[in-house]
Amino acid sequence: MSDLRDMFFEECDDLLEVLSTGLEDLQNETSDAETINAMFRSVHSIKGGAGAFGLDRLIKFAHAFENVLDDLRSDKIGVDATITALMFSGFDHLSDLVDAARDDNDLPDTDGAAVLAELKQTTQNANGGVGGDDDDDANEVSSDDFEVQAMDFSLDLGGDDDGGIGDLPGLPSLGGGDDATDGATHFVVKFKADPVLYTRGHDPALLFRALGEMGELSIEADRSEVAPLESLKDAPAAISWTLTLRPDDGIDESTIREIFEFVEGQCTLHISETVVEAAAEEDTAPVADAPAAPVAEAAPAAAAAAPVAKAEAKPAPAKAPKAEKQEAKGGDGGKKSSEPRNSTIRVDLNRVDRLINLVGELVISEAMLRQSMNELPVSANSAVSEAIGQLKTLSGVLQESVMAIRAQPVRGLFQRMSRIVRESSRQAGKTSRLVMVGEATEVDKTVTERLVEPLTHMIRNSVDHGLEKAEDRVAAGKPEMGTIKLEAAHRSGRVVISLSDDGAGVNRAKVRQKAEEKGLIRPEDDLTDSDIDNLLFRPGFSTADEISQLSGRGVGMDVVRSEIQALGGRINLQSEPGKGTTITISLPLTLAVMEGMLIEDAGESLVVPTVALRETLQPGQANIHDFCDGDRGLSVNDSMLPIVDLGEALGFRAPLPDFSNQSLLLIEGESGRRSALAVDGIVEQREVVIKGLEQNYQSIPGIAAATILGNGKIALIVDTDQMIPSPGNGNPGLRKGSELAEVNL
Amino acid sequence: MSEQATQEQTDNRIEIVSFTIGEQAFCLDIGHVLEIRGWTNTTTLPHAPDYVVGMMNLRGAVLPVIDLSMRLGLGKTIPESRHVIIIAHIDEKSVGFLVDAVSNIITVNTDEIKATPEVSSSKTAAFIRGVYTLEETIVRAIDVHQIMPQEALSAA
Repeated sequence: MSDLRDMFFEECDDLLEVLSTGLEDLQNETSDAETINAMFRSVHSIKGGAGAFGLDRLIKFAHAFENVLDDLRSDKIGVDATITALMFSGFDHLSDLVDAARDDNDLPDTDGAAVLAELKQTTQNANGGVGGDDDDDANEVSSDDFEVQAMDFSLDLGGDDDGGIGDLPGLPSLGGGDDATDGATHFVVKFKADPVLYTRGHDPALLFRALGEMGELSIEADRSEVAPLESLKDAPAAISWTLTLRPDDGIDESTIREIFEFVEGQCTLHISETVVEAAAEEDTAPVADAPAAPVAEAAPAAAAAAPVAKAEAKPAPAKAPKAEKQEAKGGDGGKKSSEPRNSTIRVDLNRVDRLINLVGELVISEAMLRQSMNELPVSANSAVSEAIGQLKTLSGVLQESVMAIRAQPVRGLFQRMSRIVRESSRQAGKTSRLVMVGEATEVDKTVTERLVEPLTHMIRNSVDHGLEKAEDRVAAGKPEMGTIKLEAAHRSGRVVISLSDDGAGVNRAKVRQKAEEKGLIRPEDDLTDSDIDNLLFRPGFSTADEISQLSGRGVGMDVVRSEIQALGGRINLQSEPGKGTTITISLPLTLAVMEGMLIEDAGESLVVPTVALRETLQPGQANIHDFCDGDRGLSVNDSMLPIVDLGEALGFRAPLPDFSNQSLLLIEGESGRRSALAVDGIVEQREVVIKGLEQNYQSIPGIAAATILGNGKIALIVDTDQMIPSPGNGNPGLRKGSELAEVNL
Repeated sequence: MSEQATQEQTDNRIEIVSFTIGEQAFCLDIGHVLEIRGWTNTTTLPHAPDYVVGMMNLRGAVLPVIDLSMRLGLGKTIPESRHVIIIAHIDEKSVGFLVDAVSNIITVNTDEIKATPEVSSSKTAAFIRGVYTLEETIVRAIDVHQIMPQEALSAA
C-alpha cells in the first residue's frame, strides 16, 4: 500500500502546484474559466485520492474548498480580494494537511478550523440566498455526507470485502429539511458501466450498496446484451441496471449523483425523479434499451455481477488517483482541454543519477580514447579519427540530454516561497506580495531542493528587515503594499536567481557601526558601499533592533551564504538606500559538469573553474611588486592585487623566490574581490566532470572537488574563493594567509 | 588452511585477507574488501595527513589511498609497481590501503582472537583489535573504523 501512498502524495505535489499556479493567476487577475476549472479539478483529485486512504480531515477540508471553487466556477461568487485571500489560506492549509498526512502526523485540531469554517460559510452565503434553488442548496448542505462516500471509494480500491460498508456511520439527517423530497417520489437511476469503469477497479455493487443506504432500493439488471457464454470474452460492460430508490428524508438527486461521482465519465448514468405510482421510466435516458429489462430478482443479479466486476478489475488500484484525475477532467467536458499536457513518466531519481554517472564515465573514456589515438605513431588513419570525432559529438549530446533529465523548472520552488511571503508578512504585520519572473527557468533538481532553506531565510529577512512598516512606506511615498520580486534566468552558463524588495535598503551606517561593535571590522577600515552591504553575510551579524519572531534567530545570512557556496554558487547583495535591496545568487546549471582551466603547478595538474577566471597573464607580462614578508602584489589597471602562489598555498612546495617564470590567473570571488594565482603553466580550457571528495574522503581546504582527466589521472579543482585573501576573512586554504588585500590606488 | 576451525563452531568462522607490511602480518575481515589492485599513481592532496598518499581513480570513482605502513607508525612507503592496494569499503566510504603484499585468504574462528599485548604505543592500542596465531605467524587484526582518516585532522 505504501507505493500507492507515495504515488498519491507525488500526485498531490503536482496538483498543489496546479492549484498554486491558478491562485497566482487569480491574484494577478489573469485568470479565466479554465483556471478555476483546473483548480477545482486539482482539489477534487486530492479529495478523491485522500478518500482512498481514509484521510478524513483532508477529505473534509478539500471538500469544503472544492465547494467554494465550484461556486466560483458557476459564478455564484465573484473573485475579489477576500475570496483570493481565503483561497490562499485554504491552499496553505491544504498543503499542510497533505504534508501532515504524508508524514503521518496529526495537525492540531484547531489548525485550519477557521479557514474551514470560512470556506463553508462562503458556500452557504453563496447558495443560501438563492431560495428556490433547492438542488444547489442541498448540494452544499449535503457536504457532510461526503466523507461517507469517500470511504466507499477507499473500500472499492482496496478490494476490501463488503463488511466495511456496514461499519460506516449512518447518514446524518441533513439540516436542510426544505429539500424537494417529499417521500412520495422515487428516483430511477439507470446505470451502465463503460468497460473502463471495471478496468479502473470500480465495482458497481459497492455503488449500489451505498445507494441502498439512502433508502429502499430495488435493482433490476438488464442482461439482454450479455453475450452467450461461449462467445463471452472480456466484455463485462454488457449489463445495465435500473435502480429504483425510495429515498430516505434528505436524499435528493445531487446526493445520489455524489455516489456516482467517482465513476463519472466511465458510465452512462441517468437519474430521474418520479412519483410513486407513476413508476414508468422516462425514456429520455441514454440507456434507451432499459425497458427490455426482463430480470426481476434484481439484488442477486447485482451481487452476481460483482464477482465479474472484481475479476475484470484486476488489482489495478494503483491507477486510482490517476484515473480519478482523468475522470475529473473528463467530467468537465472535452472543451476545456485547451492546455495540452505533455505526457510524463515518473522515474526514481537514483536511476537517473546512475545514468548520469555512467554517461560521465563514457565522456571520460571517450577523452582517454582520443588522447591515446593522438599518441599513436600513425595518426593518418582518418577513418578512425573521424569516427572518434563523431563519438565525441554524440557523447557530448548524450551528456547534455541526460543532464536535462534532472533539470526542473524553478516554478515549484518559487511557489513555495510565495507561501513564505504570505506567512512572514502576516507575522510581521506587513502587507506584501510576491512577484515571480522566469519560473520556467530550469535548474538541477538537487539545486532547487537545496535552495529551499536559503531562499526561505532570505525572504523572511526581506519581509522582516527589508520592507518598511506600512506607515513608513506611505511616508516615503511608496505603495503600502511591499513588493518582493523573485526572478530566475539563465545567464552565461549559470542560473541567476535574484530576490529584490522595494524596501528601505541596507542602512549602511548602522551596519558599519554594528560590525565595528562586533569587531568584524576596524573603525579605520576603508570600505566601499558594496563591502559594507556584504558584511551582512559575515557570521554573527544581525542588525534588527528587536529580535523578531521571523528572523534574528541567530541564523544569519552567513548560513545562507555557506549553503549557496556548498552548491558551487555565489551570492551578492546590492542595495540602494530608499529603493530596496537585491540579493543575487548565481549557481552552476548542473552540479556535475563545469568549465575549467587546466593548469600545471608543482608537478600536479589542477583545474581552476572558468567562472572565477577573469584574465590570464603569461610570464614576463606581469607588473609585480614586492612587499613585506615575501608578499607580492600585481598592479593591474588602477589596482594592486595580491598574488597567491598556488603551489605554496596548497602546501605542495616552498615559496618561490620570484614569479618571473610563472603564469598568472586573475580570479574573482563571489564577493567581487580579486587576486592573482601564480602557477607554473596553463594547459588548456576544458569541460570537466566534477567528482566530490567528501564521498570517500573529506573536504580539503583550498580544494573544491576533483575531476578525472583524459589520461585517467585525477586533477583537483581549486576552490578559488579560498584563494582570495580578504581582511578579517580567514583563508583556510592558505597555509600562509597572505594578509595583503586588494587596495585601490 | 582452516584446520583449526571445528565443525560446530561454524557460526564464528570468518574469512580474513592477510597481508604484509615489512616483516609484519596483518589482516582485514574479507567483508570489507572490495578488490585488490596493483599500485597506480595517485594525485597528491594538499594539507593531507602524512599517511594519505593521495587520491586514486578507480573506474571513475575518486578515493583516497592510505599508506598503511605510515598510518601504523612503521615508516613511509615509497610506492613501486610491486606494491598492492587493497580497496575496502568501510563506514560507507571506499578507501585504498597501500600494503607490501597480500598473502592469503584464511578462514579463522573469531573466538581464537587474542588480545593485543598491553604495549605502550597508542597506535597499537588504537589500530590493532587483536591477533590471530596462524601456523606460528602472528596476524594482527586491524580495526578498520579507527584506521580511516579522521575528519578532525583537517577540519582546522
